[in-house]
Amino acid sequence: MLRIEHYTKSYGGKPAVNDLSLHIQKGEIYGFIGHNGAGKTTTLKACCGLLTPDSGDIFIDGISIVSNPLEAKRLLAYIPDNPDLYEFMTGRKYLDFIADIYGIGAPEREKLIAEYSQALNLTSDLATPVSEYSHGMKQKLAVISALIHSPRLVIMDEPFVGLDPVASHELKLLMRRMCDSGAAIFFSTHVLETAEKLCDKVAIIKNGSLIVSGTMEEVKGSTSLEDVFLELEGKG
Amino acid sequence: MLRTLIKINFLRLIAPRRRKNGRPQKVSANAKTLIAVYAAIGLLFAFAFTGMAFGISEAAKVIGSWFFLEIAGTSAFLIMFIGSIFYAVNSLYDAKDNDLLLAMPIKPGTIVLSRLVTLLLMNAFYDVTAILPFAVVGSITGAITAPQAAMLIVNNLFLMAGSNALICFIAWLISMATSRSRHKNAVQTVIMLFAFAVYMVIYPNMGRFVSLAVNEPEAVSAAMSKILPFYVFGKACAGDFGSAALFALCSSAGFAGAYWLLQHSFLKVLTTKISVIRREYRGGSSKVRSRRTALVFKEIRRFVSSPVYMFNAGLGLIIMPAAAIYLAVTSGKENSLVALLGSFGSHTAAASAAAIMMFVLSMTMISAPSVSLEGKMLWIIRTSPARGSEVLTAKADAHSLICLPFTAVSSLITFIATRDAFGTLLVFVSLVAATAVMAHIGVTTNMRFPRFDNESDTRTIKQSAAVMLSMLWGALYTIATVFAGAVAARFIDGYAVLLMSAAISAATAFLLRRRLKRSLADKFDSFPA
Repeated sequence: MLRIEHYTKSYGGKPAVNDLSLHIQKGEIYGFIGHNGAGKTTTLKACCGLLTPDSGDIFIDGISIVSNPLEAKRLLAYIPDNPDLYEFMTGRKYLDFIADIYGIGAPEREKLIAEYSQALNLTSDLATPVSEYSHGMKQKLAVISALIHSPRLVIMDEPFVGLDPVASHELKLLMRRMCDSGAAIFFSTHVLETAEKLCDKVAIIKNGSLIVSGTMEEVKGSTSLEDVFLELEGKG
Repeated sequence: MLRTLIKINFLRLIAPRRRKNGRPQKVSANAKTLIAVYAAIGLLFAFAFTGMAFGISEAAKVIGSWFFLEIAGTSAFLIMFIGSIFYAVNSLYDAKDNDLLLAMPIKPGTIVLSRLVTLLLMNAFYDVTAILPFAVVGSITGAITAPQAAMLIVNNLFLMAGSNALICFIAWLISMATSRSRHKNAVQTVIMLFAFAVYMVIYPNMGRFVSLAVNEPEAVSAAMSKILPFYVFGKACAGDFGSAALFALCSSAGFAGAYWLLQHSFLKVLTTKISVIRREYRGGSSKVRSRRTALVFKEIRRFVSSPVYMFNAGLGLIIMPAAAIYLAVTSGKENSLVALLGSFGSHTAAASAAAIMMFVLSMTMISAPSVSLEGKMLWIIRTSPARGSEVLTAKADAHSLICLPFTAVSSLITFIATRDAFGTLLVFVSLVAATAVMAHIGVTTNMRFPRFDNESDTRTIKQSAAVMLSMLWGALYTIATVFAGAVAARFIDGYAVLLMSAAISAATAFLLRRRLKRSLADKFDSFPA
């Protein structure tokens, strides 16, 4: 579903991501772990077409995000770490706007908005302007807007930050359900316990280079993900 | 700390950027443009005040130099007040870094003082454009003596302090009113309407005031001596040391009082926030729109949800019907403007009315900040399957759509003035075409000077290089078109002039749109978000 091939990106001559290659299959929840400034957000943004690579390419279901960005973007959804949304709209208007952009018909959007907003406990706030939302509510709205066009690939940057425990739990269930229906999820997190419990596969990035990747069992073996991560970071 | 905060505020104003290779900071092309635009605006103001000073000089010779100096002070105050009142509200209370700074071990008083000093320095720019022409012209014409010119410069420092105090006090009142209201936008709209009404009363009557001062100096002198702060300023500059001491004392006390009030209430104003009335969500059927329509309506919604955006970028929309009403109301009178405009040739009344409306339309800059306003929300569009060309043309089309009803109503009102149905239709067509040009100029200019990191939308709307340059290009385009029309009117019918104008505008809009859809759309699609 997502194929990153030799992706390299530099800022001012300093490499942020260096020759990164990663394959994510359908139905996989793929965790992306690394220290601050390791290159996680740069990689995730590149997967959505927000940053152009210096070299390499990224394919969404076989479609290059570099050479055919619109087709690739139809298949994916992105949730940034800090969801800045249109504050001049109500929650519902924002979801309608996103649905219009993706060409979602009325019955389908009604059904999905009702389902996801109920799951994340945002239904009663959908008539409220986004400017009045808390960080967590914006995060929920960003999640719903990402899911209402039924993307094949969801890219999330720290999706659990700001969510209350119930919403966090619901989001994990939604993620699993989406992957069970054939989608793939690629997300970054610093919460290693969550990654350990939720992810099918995990990749660890350090200073822009991929250190290790594979199934959770392959990466952590008999120890915990935290132990592996700390060891790779030289803190173990 | 104070110096650091002031430096940060100034860096925000001119937006220098560190070069990619990490060498010491250099002023970016964007900042250079902004500085050049500010200089041009300063020159325009200075030019206007020079004309006014020459006019007042004659009256001052009869009334006295204090009168000339009082007018200088009043002009400087007005330009400072109009130029910075809403900026003061924004920089004091709506700055996005307020929370960050308050979380640091910095006294609120230091934050307030840094903002006050920045505001003071910004107002010095407005002030110089008024005071300097008056000082120079007064000295040349003999309306004031050299020592009086020197006193004008000295007392002007206290004038700036006093004006800043009043501006900050009113900014505080506005913030208190909006922070305690559940209808923040409605309160802001009322305040801006009031400010606009004051502006509309003062600005058109400036010329009349100058001629009144020349023709009836005694009456004007008596009236002006009742406006105490400025009268005292005039007397102080004229050499009355008692007035000078009083003015200096009051201004300094005012500034200190404003600082005291602001620093003591700063936290309270920022933390007093009454949430809007939450409407219960009842579900309901969705209005499904095409992608293009959704993008256009998004822009319209952004415009109508912000009083700052509406009143700054849409000023021309309010003035245009007002100008049409003026033409209609005065059309029946002897030596009316419409009669004058119609005397140039066949059907020139309609063509001239369209020219006036076009000038007003060039003040409407809805699309000019629209790209920069995406700001931190740019990721929404950039990760969606919307083409850059769709996004940019939607911004231009939203501008045109918002203007359409105002253009239609204004054109209809001109019918009352000209009684020319076909002419009215042509006025409407030429104005719609001119609107399309302004709309595309706005987006094109913003794509040349995008800025996604402004700390508030107000700054993007009011002070960005894109907005100022769009206004300049719009005015230049209008001048060129009207000049071409005026030349053509000597040889061809007014209807033909209007058709020619519409054709030129349509062609220009077409060319700009083609550029938007091609190279600028590619640029938009590659913006890092």
